[in-house]
Amino acid sequence: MATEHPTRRDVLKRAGAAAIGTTAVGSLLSACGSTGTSSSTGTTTAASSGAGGGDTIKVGVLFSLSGDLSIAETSMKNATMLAIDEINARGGIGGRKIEPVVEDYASDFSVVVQKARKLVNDDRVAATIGCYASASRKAVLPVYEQGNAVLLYPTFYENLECSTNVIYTSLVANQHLTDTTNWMVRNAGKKIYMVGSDYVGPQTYNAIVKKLAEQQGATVIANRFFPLTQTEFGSALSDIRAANPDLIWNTIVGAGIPAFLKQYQAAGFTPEKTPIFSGICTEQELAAVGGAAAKGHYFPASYFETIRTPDNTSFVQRYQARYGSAQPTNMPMQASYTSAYLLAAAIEKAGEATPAAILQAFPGVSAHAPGEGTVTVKDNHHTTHTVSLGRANDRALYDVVVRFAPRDPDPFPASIVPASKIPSCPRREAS
Amino acid sequence: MLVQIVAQGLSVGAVLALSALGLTIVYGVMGVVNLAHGEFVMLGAYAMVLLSPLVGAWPAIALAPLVVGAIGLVVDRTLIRFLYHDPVKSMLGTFGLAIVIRQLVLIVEGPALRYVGLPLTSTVSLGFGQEFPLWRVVLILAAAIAGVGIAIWLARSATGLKVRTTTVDSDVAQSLGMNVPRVNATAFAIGAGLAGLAGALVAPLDSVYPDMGLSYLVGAFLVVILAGLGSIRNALLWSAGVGLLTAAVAVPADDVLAQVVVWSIALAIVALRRQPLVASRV
Repeated sequence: MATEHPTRRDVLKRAGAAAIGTTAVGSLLSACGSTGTSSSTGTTTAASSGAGGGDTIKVGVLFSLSGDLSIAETSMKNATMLAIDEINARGGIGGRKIEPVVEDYASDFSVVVQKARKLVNDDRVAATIGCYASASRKAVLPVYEQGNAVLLYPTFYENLECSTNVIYTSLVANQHLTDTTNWMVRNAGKKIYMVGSDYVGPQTYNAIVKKLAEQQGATVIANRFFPLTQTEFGSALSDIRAANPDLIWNTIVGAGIPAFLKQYQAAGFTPEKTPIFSGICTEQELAAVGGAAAKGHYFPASYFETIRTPDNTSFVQRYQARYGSAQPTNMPMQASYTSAYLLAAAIEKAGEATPAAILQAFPGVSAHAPGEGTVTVKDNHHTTHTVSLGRANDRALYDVVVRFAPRDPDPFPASIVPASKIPSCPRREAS
Repeated sequence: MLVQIVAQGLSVGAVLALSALGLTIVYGVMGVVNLAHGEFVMLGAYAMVLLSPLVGAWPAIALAPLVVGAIGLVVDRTLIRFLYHDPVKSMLGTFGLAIVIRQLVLIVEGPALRYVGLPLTSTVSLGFGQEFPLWRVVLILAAAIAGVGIAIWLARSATGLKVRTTTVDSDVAQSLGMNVPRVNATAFAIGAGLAGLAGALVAPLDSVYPDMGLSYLVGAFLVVILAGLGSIRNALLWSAGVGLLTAAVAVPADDVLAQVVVWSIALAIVALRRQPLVASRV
């Protein structure tokens, strides 16, 4: 029985900050300093009542169902609910059904803190699946760490975090970028032009790819960043034409993506001669690019809708039967779906649904990810993954070009973090 | 490189000019600082998104300014006319209007980025082995035609004369028997229509979503501050100037630096200039 709260909050917000997509990081922590309820006692109370009355296991589902981020996050909520209902349909976890508590944080990084507090302190959920933009995860970190609660974070992000209270169920950069960079240098050329949006996620991604590419003997001839809201790329394209690179590495995000790819096509560049490899461009962004401008460009991911395996065909059918086929299934959706199964496996292993027991049980827990295979949570709270490289077709979906070997996660890759600076993992991030 | 900078600069300037023209006319005629101007650009882009699959790209570009102009007419009669000749009130009122328009589009059309195909995908040769997107040439031509057309219309037509008279002194215009409310409504509809045209023309190159208008408002304001509110010729010249300066920095260096340079120079000009911000006539 879902307790849904589809409150519509109209959020006045600056353009662009809105559509930044997956990896925005903002220090919107101002609202976190004062916890209204007694957070020091939260640990014990959350632990004791997380066990619930014995009938159901409460699980928080925390996404934006309204506002600018809702386009991505509503589909992630849907995928999470699909998995929860499937788990309940087969009898729940050890005979106990999951009771999802769905909260809408309305694309607002202060509302997300209030909603997380409600889930942790009032509903006393066993765990939460949710958050999307890094800014939302950073904002709720103190709530989960102070309350000793559990957050499953189901999308790829920019590394350099390893909270005791977060299970990162999607990719980190060493999984996402290593094999892709090697493939791209080997197959598309050694002269690389880099572009990206000007904030921490794209800068980290570009720094890692630059390091990896240079190890392969490639040269990065430019690494150019744009203000987040910029959608005019004519100047950069003039410079790209003059530089004549073999390929483009692109981490422009959100609203910039369709503008960049369409202007790239308009300027006469072709993927046959100069392909674009994007780090942050799922099928959802690609839909607004259109097949004509998207076709032939690349994006690596642990999941594509077009993967033709029986388990994925069935996953896509089940999703579409319930939510329609207006949106393609994508990596964050698959990771959200898989997160519910990982959580169920952890609770099963723990034998009880308290946050402390769940956290202790998580390392070593596995689940089946549609279209990808078995994924396992490691000691560093991140998850093993198998990445494929996709190339866009004329329907603006990605076809798999090559499937790489599975990789263990390394949130502090040696390519950007000096050995002496690598912290113990997991650790407290927000205290 | 130089050819690319000039071509790119004019293309950036063209978009600035299309969005600045409407802003400056509306201020010149009725003293309204329209903070919802970016939203009219956004509405023009959505008109393109919704109309081009039905009627084709070129008819959609022709219809978009009419649709947005009509919306402007309704908005003028229901809201803007209470805000004439009061810059502070007009800023507050149109700021609220901007929020309402954005949220209505968000409710009706959703937050997703929308797709508009490129009507012309080929490039043109600039000589020296340089190529340039044909669609950007269309942008430059459209801005030039719109700017010169509006200027001629103001200078030569009977309505243009009424608009100029109202700009100089609306009370005198009224006492001479002119239908000033109609002149005002016409001017506002034209301002909105120009923004709609800008939106329709940039939609194939830009990302279309409810919040896209703000960057156009900011760009238009930059030009209007430099040109002085209410001057068409200056608005066109400064649009080209800002576009060329942006490209001169952004093509060889990068766009973040270009913004820093452009805004620093704008600040210096505004700080050093002793003459009033507002030009006396359209």
